Amino acid sequence: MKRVALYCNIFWLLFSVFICQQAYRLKLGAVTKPGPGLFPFSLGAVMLFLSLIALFQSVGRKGEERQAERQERFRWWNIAIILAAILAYALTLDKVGFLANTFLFICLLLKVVEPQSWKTTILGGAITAIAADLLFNIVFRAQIPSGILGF
Amino acid sequence: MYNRTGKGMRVMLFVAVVSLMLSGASQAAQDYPKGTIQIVIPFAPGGSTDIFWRSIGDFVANNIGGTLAFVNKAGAGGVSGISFVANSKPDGYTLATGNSDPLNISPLFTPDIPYDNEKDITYIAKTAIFPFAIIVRSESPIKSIEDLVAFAKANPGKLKCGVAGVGTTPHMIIEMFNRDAKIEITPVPFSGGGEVVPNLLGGHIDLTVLSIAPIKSLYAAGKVRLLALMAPKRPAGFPQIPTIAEKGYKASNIATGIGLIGPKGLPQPIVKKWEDAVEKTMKEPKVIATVDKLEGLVIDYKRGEEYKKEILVEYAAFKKIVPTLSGAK
Amino acid sequence: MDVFGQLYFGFSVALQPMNLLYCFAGVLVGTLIGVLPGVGPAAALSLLLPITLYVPPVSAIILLAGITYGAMYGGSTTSILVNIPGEAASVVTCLDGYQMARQGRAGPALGIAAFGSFIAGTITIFMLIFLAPTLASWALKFGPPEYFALMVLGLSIMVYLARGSVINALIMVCFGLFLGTIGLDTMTGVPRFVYKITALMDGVGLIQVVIGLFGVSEVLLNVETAFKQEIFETKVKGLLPNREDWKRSIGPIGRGSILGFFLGIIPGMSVVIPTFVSYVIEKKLSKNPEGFGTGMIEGVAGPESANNAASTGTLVPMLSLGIPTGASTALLLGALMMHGLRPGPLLIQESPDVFWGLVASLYVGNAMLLVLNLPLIGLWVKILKIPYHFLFSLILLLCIIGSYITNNTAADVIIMAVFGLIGYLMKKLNYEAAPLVLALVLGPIMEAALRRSLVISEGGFGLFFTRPISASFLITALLILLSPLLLKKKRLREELRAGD
Repeated sequence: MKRVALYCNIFWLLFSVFICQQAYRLKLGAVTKPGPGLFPFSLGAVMLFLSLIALFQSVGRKGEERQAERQERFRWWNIAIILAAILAYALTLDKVGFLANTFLFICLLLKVVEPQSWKTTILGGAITAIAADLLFNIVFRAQIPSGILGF
Repeated sequence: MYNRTGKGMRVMLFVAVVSLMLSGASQAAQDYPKGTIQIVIPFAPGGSTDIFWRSIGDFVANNIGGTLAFVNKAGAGGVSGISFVANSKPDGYTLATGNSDPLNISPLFTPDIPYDNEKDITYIAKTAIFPFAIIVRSESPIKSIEDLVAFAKANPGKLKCGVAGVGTTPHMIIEMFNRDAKIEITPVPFSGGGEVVPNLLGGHIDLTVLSIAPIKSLYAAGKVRLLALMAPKRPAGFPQIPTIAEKGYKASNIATGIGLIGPKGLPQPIVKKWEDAVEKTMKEPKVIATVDKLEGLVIDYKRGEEYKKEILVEYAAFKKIVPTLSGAK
Repeated sequence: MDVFGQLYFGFSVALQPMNLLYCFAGVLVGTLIGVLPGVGPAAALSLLLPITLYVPPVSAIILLAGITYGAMYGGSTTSILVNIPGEAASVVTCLDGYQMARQGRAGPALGIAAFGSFIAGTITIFMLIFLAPTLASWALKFGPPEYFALMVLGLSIMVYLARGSVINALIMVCFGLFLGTIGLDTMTGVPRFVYKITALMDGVGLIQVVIGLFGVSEVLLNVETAFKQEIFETKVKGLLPNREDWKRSIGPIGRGSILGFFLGIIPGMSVVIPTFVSYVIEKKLSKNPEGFGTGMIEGVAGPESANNAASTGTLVPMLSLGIPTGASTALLLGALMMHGLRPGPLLIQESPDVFWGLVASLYVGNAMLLVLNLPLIGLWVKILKIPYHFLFSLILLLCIIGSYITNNTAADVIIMAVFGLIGYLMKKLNYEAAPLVLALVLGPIMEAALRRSLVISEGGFGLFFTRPISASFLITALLILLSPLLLKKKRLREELRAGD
């Protein structure tokens, strides 16, 4: 735990330096006539200060070694898949269309994250996609694109 | 056997295909529109441009002979929506409307703007303009444009003029006016007309350049005073307010125009069809009545080429003054 | 002024069968669409605005008002059920409401949210009627210096919002303030931290951030391990708030209503801020401040009442001066104009049936919503029974749609995903999301107000202290920030005295 906190604070340290540097490139202006960069720069400075304090705190403190009790495997791939699925959905929505995309999305999630049978997956995906399409595109006349398949 | 499709046959085949394609193209123009036309409004729903188009939408659809679907794609002061259309297929089914800000001002403020306002856009038609007005609150000692100029000359930098954003037409107007009248009024940017009005009424700023819609009811109730309007002619409903050109400041007489544009390469027959349809719409008495109800909009129809010229001329004028402002690229 | 006569007239308009029908339609549709995460009153209005064109003016206004309120009521539903904020203002409701749902107390949470909103609505509508013109002129006194001072005050209460490490919370505040600077600078138009990504030019997008930070990250946390354990306590402990709940909630509801209303009147005040303030106040006044964040009903009752009250408050400048003060009032105003009406000082005189009909229908709408929402609680609670291995995909789909629908851009969904990851990491590493959200909302307003004030004063800082309202806010903020130190000194002195 101690180590993790250390890495976090180092990250904030570097990040605040980044902010300061980027803000400096925007005009800082004067305190009485601030430019676009002044506020972010001050933020970066404050964050730098805070992360230094946090850094000293995490180094000084005796390590609270809390063993994470994991009897089950940490399924980090679930997280990766979900994020990837969301990204894929976003990128293909304009081309593939709401109905098809939703169907694929739900099927993917159902099959991969906590595997269901093929029947459940396809059925679940289809019902959700159709219901969602009805609800949003027809009832609410929302402006979700139709895509190449026209629906 | 191979002699059947000899050279002659191949030439005939080629000619047949090409003529089919060509007739297909003009067929396309003849058949246009053959489905729903998507019109992107690059602003959030409920805005003046949005209301305008939705109010006249049915009339326009009638005259173009197709169905219109309005889609809002707000962002970056109109740049997102315009860039979406500028980068779409020039088949006439994806067009954009909106006011002139993203076309003649945003390029000066947005580095790497994703379209070139001269080359990437087909200008179809201009429909109407939003006139802006120079407004003070009724308790203000300034009663006319002459008062304003006199006070500004005596107190350079002291007058604060609220504008609804940096890089918008009102901002440009006050800057042009500063140079036209050789005075120094300080613009104070806010995020939107809704923020400017309470600040004006509360006395935190001295004047503002704003479109008429937000203040029409306040004007009727006598809470604000209009010093001048920026419009080609006095709009209905404000016959007693002078235009800024009448007062001698012609260069400041800029308004935001609402027009229709498409991506580059839009076939000329389709553009012409739209020009005619829009012209017909803006002449219909019902449309004129609807627009009049919409808070001071003034119908100002222009065909594609004229519209383009106007935008580019204004763009050139703005380009000259922008380097002298703070913060521009 | 024959207010009661006018009110009676208003009710006679509002209770006409046709208008009742429109009111009901409005609240129904508003609720359904408001339940969708990320869709609050503003988005609901923008989606449904075109439909209202085909309806006569008075009925259209009633319809629109119904939609606004309905969307507001609906906004807390997903916050409580699945930790996805239904709208930006419902973020705070997630903090305790979702915990209550996990303990099987989703019913009471939803119930107190509905009741609290109703009571707040009733109180504030009457305040609106009697106080509108006076309040409006008071609200005009808020110029840039007052806004700056108020935002500083808002940030200072952050001290009490943090549950865990204060340093981490402060870092989150800085991070939130930083995120708020992303986009085009309001004062100069210069892009900051945009790196040519068009989607970032308007900023990161509060709704997308919030849906990602709360909703998506929660799903990610739950899928880390196999779904053997129950995410939601299946034995539902009652569907409505019990007497104990009411006793604890009545204070927060009252305080939230007054607080929300007065803050809501200020033009441009985001509806998010009163909810945070209410939460912090309840936490400070509670005998069990550490419990906040584990499912304290006060943490739902107060903010939800403040939310509804603030929304009514935003109507004050709109109705009395015709000034739109936020996205939803701008839309209402636009709708009124499309029907040829002119809200403003003359509205009461020119179209009394519209004004009083609207006011009366606000009340009717509130009542309808209560009646509509209570039975729905049973339905919503059943939804939680859907097995999580299916439910989570629905939750994610809702998150995606909610993020997409505000601007119709896929980029917003990507932003949501990014913040989903960030939120997940934050939860694992002990960083709280609430301070970040508050800072994200406050930051831009604060910075812009500061810079505008400096333009107006031509560089002087004195105006913050010579203007009474801003001076009082700043002094209060200072006191709040120093109070822990002052309290420590007091305790030391008492210890010393005891030791004598």
